[in-house]
Amino acid sequence: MIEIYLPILVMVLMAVAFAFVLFVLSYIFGYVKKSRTSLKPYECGMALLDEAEKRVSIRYYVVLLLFLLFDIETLLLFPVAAVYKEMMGNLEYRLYVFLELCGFVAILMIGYVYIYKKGALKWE
Amino acid sequence: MFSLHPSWTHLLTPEIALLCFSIIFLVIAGLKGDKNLRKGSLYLSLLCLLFTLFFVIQLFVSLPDKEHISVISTSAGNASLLIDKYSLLFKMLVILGGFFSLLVSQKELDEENAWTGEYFALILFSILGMMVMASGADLLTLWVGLETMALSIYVLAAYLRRKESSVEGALKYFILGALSSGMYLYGVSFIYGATSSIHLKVLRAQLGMMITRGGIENIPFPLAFGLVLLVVSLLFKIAIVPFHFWTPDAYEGATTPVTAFMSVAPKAAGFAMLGRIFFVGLIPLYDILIPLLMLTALLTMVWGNIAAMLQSNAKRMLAYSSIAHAGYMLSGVIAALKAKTDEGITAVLFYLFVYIFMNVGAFSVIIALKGNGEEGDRMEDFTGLFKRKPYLAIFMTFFLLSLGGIPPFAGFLGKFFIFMSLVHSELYLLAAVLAITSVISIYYYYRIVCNMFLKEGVEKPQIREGFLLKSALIIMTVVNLFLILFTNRIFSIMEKGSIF
Amino acid sequence: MIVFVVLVSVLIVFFSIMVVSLKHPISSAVSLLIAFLLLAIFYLLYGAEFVAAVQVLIYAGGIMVLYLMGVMFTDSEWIKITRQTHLQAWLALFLVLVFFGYFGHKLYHSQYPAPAVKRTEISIAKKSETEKKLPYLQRETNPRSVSVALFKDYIYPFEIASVLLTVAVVGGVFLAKKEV
Repeated sequence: MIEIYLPILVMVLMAVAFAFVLFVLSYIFGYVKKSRTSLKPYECGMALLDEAEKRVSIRYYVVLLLFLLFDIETLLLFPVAAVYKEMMGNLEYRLYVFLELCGFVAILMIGYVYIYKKGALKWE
Repeated sequence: MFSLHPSWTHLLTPEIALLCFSIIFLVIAGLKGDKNLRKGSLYLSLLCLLFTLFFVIQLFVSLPDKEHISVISTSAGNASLLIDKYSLLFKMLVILGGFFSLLVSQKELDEENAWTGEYFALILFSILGMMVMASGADLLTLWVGLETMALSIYVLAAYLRRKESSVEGALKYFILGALSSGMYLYGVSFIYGATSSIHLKVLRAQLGMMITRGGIENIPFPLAFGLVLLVVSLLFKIAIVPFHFWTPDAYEGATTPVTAFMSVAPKAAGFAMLGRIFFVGLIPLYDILIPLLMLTALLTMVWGNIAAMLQSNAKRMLAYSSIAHAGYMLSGVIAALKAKTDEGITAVLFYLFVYIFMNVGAFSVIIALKGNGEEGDRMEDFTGLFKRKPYLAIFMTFFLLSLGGIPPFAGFLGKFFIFMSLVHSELYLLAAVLAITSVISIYYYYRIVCNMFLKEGVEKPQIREGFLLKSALIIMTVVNLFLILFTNRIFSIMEKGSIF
Repeated sequence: MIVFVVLVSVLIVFFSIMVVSLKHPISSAVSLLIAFLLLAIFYLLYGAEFVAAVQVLIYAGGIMVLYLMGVMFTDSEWIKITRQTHLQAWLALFLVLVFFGYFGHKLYHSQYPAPAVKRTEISIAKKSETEKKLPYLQRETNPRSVSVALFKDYIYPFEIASVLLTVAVVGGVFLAKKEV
């Protein structure tokens, strides 16, 4: 059972190793000159505006909340992929499952229309 | 074999209708409409609930007695949704509770200037959740119904978002409610691990098998642990001591019509779920359940009444008194568990029916007192009410005497049937405590009556109730006064809600 | 396999302790993230692939963002002056150890499912030999059993779950919006 995940494990290990090797290589061969600029996250690019550890506007809260809820909604629809072929092959349950999913999405769509109409997605 | 009942659309009409109705209110909430539309939606919501009630009653009449129709059966052949007279009666009670809470909410919404479409949508959604709770037959369906109800009510409890006490009470309610939901799920996962089923029927069969083989000792530890968590989370939902701490703050903070709703409808739904789980699933365990529940019921009746005496706020007092009432109803459940007959269940159903009228009535008088920048829920707000508004004072007296259980008011009948069921199942201790604590409760109800009639109040500007509140008060007073004439009729209806 | 399970469990416990003992909230949150991901691996080891996917999508994806934003919404100045433990912590630690020892002992020595019980519902654990020879995609796997349970047996809770999520959306937007 567990051996089927071996390719995934190999891939993860390779990704980690690659990052690590790059890091070590740049440490060995890179020329580091200590200055204020080299301590910044982006050495070449936008100049820093402010500190990172600052309070964020509470307005992001609604966005975050909606993200989480739609995440869960996706999750409940996710298992369809596992049985889609089987479901569509079974004549007896085909219409039934289709209507069931339509009902589920329809109720959620009403929730979406509600937030859209309320302007929850607008920056106020 | 997985199957749907051939006439499932007919059996689920109330739920489908209610879902459509609540979606209408959601759309209204989304519209940038004027205030009149929102005010009109109050009447519309009352109409919707009447329609749903009509559907439920029509189903109730057409269904044969003592039959549990399984609407959805799983592949293994277990029912996951049951329509029977038990569930339909609880659905009626829940809808009635919602109906009266909406009927009294016009004035409060005017005062707070809080007319929104969400108010109605959330109340209808929570009623939908309670209806699922009444007819679910597996632990998962019951949980989804419970959460739908609870989430709507958390939001309703925080309905006045600008008021600190409202948000505080709602937050306390939310955190403790989330904890109890977590406990429920944790318990269910242990139960599933031990029995590999979440269906109440299967649970009952397996518990029965284990007990016949080796007695209570034979129940494996994980199952016992899961069952304890399950029972605790159920007791939490109906606010039984020692799981009652959220009640006073949530009740005090919420806007009064919502408090009235919270005190009747979720309680009815909670008892429906508790009854279903106990009498379908856990009945083989009655040997241990009865002493445990008796202890909590005794604590609830005693502490609820004692704590109610110490309150200086009428809403907090009613919150504690509602805890005590939950204790009375729980004793009815214990009677049914002990005697294994429907008598206790009938008494609980009757009590819940009466409780809607007396409790929402008492809260609606508090709503009527609100105005001119005063909340109307302090004890002093009642002083001299008889001089200012004689009929309000008289109505309040009726409601309070009914809550105290004084004949010939409706509350007396509720307590009487529970008392009788306790005596018939030989639970004399509970019966005695019920009688004694009822007498104690009259003391604090009488304090308000005393304030209204005997004390001189300061001169205050006139209060206006509005048509809906007035009619609601009159209906509830009439029911409280004259229910005794129709006792047999209503009792015979409640008798049909049989679970055995 | 048992080596993997023990290793992953030890790491989960370690990072969970880190969550409560690290001083900076962002570091705690990152430890929590690692613990979540390790938990996903733990689920995979027991063949619960769907739950593992949920763990990554919801917990490591959604809940973590919620935590991080929660930290960013609040003022971090107070962290420097607050103590993390107080006297009750020792009592609490003692009680937790006692309860954990007792329950752990009891739960470890019990069988799942209980010995007197016959499996009645979907069985994931039992797999025939012929099935094991099938290519992976045709086997009766965990996501497939979850899907069948979700779309057939538990259709009613599934539909009500959409109502539940709609209520959550309405409630969240209603409470968070400035004007209604």
